[in-house]
Amino acid sequence: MTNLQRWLFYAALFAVPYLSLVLGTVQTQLTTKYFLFVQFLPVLLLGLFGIYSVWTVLYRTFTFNDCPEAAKELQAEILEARKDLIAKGFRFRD
Amino acid sequence: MPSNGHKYSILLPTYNEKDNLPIIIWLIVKYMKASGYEYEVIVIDDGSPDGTLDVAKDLQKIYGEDRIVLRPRTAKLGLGTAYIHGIKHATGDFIIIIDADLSHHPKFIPEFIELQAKGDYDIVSGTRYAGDGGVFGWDFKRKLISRGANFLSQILLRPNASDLTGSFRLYKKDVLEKCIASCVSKGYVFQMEMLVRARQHGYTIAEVPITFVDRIYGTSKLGGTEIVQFAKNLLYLFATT
Repeated sequence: MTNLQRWLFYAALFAVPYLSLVLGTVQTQLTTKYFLFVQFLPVLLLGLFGIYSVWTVLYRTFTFNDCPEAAKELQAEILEARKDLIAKGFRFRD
Repeated sequence: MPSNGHKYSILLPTYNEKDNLPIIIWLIVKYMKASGYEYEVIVIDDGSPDGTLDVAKDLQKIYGEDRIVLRPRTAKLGLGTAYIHGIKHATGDFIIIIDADLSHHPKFIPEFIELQAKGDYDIVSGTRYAGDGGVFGWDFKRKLISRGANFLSQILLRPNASDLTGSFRLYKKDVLEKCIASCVSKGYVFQMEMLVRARQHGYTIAEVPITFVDRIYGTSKLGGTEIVQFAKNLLYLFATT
């Protein structure tokens, strides 16, 4: 099953009971009482997923490690490498 | 530390890296020598006009033809084919791919090797997104795009790895060959597809947190066309894998 098929499968699992409630094929006391809520359920779920996504991405962006030590270490090693290579007879072309 | 009976072929595709190549090779030699593992560096230069190949030849004279192997090509032909070209000449049973632009530090290679040996993993992938991993030289916007793209690909492709677009990895030789053979995309999304194909084949993937220092020499590339290409490939892989 591809990822797309998997998503469509889940969407169908949701759509069948949802549509039967909204179109009135299936009626229960509870769903009639909260009919407006049931109707807007997909929008609500999408909204919640959107908030989760934005929050997750922003959180991960702000906690993305900066690595100033790694850059410093590299700069120092570059100088060391140049010295050593020149000593070994290498000629830099810059 | 003694050698472990394996040999590691480090593939270094280059294009206009005359400044970075001597440094990256010096670093590889430094850390591989200290670790004691058997290795070779295979430089695949795609006809760089800046004379990268001449630099590589000079380095070969210093470090020896068994350590530095030159497999140049006459034109820029893409990353996937560069790896295939390199594998053909590799004498190791493991392949390590690393960028030559110094964004990946060779000090992590021994960590890759130790982790691979511990769990007999098929692939060990460097990750900027987990543990002590991270980046240097990225502003807020660049980080946001990177995190957003990563989040989206995790949701849509459910790979077994946290860093899909990274290109610092260790593969078993036959695993790399199989993954490349099943890849259709080119450019930098190719790295993402490699791990998706690995998941399809049922290969095991382990991860080592790495620090990524964005290009010190030269300019980094992330423009509108890269983002469009990424989105297209993401949707393609979503629909087909």
